[in-house]
Amino acid sequence: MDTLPHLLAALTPFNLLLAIGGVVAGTIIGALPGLTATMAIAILTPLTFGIPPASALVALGAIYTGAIYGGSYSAILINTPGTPSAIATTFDGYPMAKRGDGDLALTLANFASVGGGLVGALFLLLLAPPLAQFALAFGPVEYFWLAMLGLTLVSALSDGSLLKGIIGCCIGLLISMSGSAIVGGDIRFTFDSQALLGGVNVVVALIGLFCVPVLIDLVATPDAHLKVGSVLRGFRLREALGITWAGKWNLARSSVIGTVIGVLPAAGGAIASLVAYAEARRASGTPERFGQGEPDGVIATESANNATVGAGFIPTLTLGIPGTPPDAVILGALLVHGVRTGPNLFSEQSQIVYTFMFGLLIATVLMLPIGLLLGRYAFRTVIAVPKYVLAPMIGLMTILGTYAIQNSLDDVAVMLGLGVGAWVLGRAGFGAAPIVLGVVLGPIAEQGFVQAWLIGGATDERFETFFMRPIAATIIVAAAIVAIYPVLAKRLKARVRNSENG
Amino acid sequence: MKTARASDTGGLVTAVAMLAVSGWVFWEAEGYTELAAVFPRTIALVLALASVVLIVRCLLGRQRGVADDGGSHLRRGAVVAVLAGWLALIPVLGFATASLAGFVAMGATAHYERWSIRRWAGFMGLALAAVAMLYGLFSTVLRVPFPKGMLL
Repeated sequence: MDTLPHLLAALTPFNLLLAIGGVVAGTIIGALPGLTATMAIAILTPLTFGIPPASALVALGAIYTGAIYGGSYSAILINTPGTPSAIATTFDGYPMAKRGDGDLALTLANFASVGGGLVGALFLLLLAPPLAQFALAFGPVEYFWLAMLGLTLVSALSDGSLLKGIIGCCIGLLISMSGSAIVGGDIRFTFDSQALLGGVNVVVALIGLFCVPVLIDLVATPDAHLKVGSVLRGFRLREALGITWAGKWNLARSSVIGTVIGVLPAAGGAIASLVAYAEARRASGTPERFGQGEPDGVIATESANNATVGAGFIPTLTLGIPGTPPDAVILGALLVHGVRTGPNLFSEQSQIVYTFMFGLLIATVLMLPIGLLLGRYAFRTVIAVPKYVLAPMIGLMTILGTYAIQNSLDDVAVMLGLGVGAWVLGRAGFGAAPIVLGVVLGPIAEQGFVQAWLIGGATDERFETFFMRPIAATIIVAAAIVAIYPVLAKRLKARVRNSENG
Repeated sequence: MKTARASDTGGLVTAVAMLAVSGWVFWEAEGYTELAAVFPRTIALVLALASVVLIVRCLLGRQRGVADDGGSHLRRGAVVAVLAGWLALIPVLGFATASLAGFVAMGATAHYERWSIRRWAGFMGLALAAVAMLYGLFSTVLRVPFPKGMLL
């Protein structure tokens, strides 16, 4: 590969302008609950039809990476993930904002997103073909265990009671099963309602489960929504740089996790950030701080979800299999532009593909100043706006965003129902996070489980199918460590403390 | 901040309800094909087991509840009523008009001080601008087809 010509091609003023515009548009759209990265790309794709393919790809990549990053704004400031990829960012981002560190959380999210995005884009640039082969080694069993690895997070998200976390997770899994069964096609748990035939949309559930309880409690007291110091402390760059440097291994590990999971077709940023969060908690010396506003939690999730952007392009470009829904839309745009994806793409249309890869790297770097500025503006807006304006704005975005997903008022009703239900369950100590975990991971877990069950039954090797495949066994061990390690570490610490106290 | 409460009535009631839900899932799954029933049954079993253990812990007084964190329940109820009314009005009045009404009602619910004429006028202007801007953005740029109703 001749690096310099491709880099220069990506650095033309026109491409830079597209990258800046794409990052800004993507960040704003991603920050609005209900408007996902997929929707942002789908809406803006027709605007790229009149420009050269490489420039169009740069614009779409910039929108994508901006949208995944933008999801962190609403996750941190109003406890509502702007995109499903930002679900895990709410776990520590919102508690940080509640205690007066919202500005710091936004800056950390920016650093982590840029770091993760760069790692994903570099893997795309340097290691696309071997990683694509790795993705092909993943079958239903591996997807099932990957979902199980994500579900082990329930122990981290169960604030006070693991039992309540498990029950919440089961509720989420049951919600994810409503509608047409993934395997078999039976209509399940619809209460004879046409509105539930297609199941509960993940984004609809996210908005309801996270946003509505916040809205209900927001108006209950006249106190400020977020705690703010007497003096605004700007970007808090020095502090954020120190924390990021201290968490550099966490950032690197989470970015690699995001890249590996991003390569897998249909896995995506939500699972990547959940798994990275679980691993960050396991590796931390203070796992009990996770969920209480631990900066390492924000670093882990934001680096992992942005790493999936570059990584998702690996199967898209090399195999023609989109890694995530936004990749599927971009794949369609590529076909319109006459770009034929597959193993020959890198030799036959190298100019386009390498210009795009460098464009993605440049867009990710541009996200640093753009994201910091937009984040500061978002933070100042949320803390300055009085409750009687903030509450109706959230209400409007909630209803508008939910309706726009599928142009359906039924979705709005489902969102409200889930939201009120989540608030009631919250009063009894059942948090929303384990329910969301079940909703997001349910379809992947069920599809993998049933398909593996079928394969194992057909070959009369169910045990071997589920437990003896090398990648599956590795994930099982990882899941077991993630689930058991925090408990063991806690007991060990207590024992050491007791022996020290005599 | 929420603090732990001695007895966990909420946990007990929810666990009993979830035990009933798991029973209902088993009953529903009877009518499904084997492939569609295996996963719901597995989850229902886990749900039932966890619910039974939680019930036992609650009855033995070994489960701590979550204390009320204060605040106005009336206003909380009003938020739910406003959101439900907002949704119900959309097919009748149209998305934009219902959203304007919902916005104003939600603002009134979240307001704790006396409304001055100036503040009220400012709030109404903001409500109009916010609804018009977002409705315009979604309907013209994003091509979202909104229900019209009697008005807009």
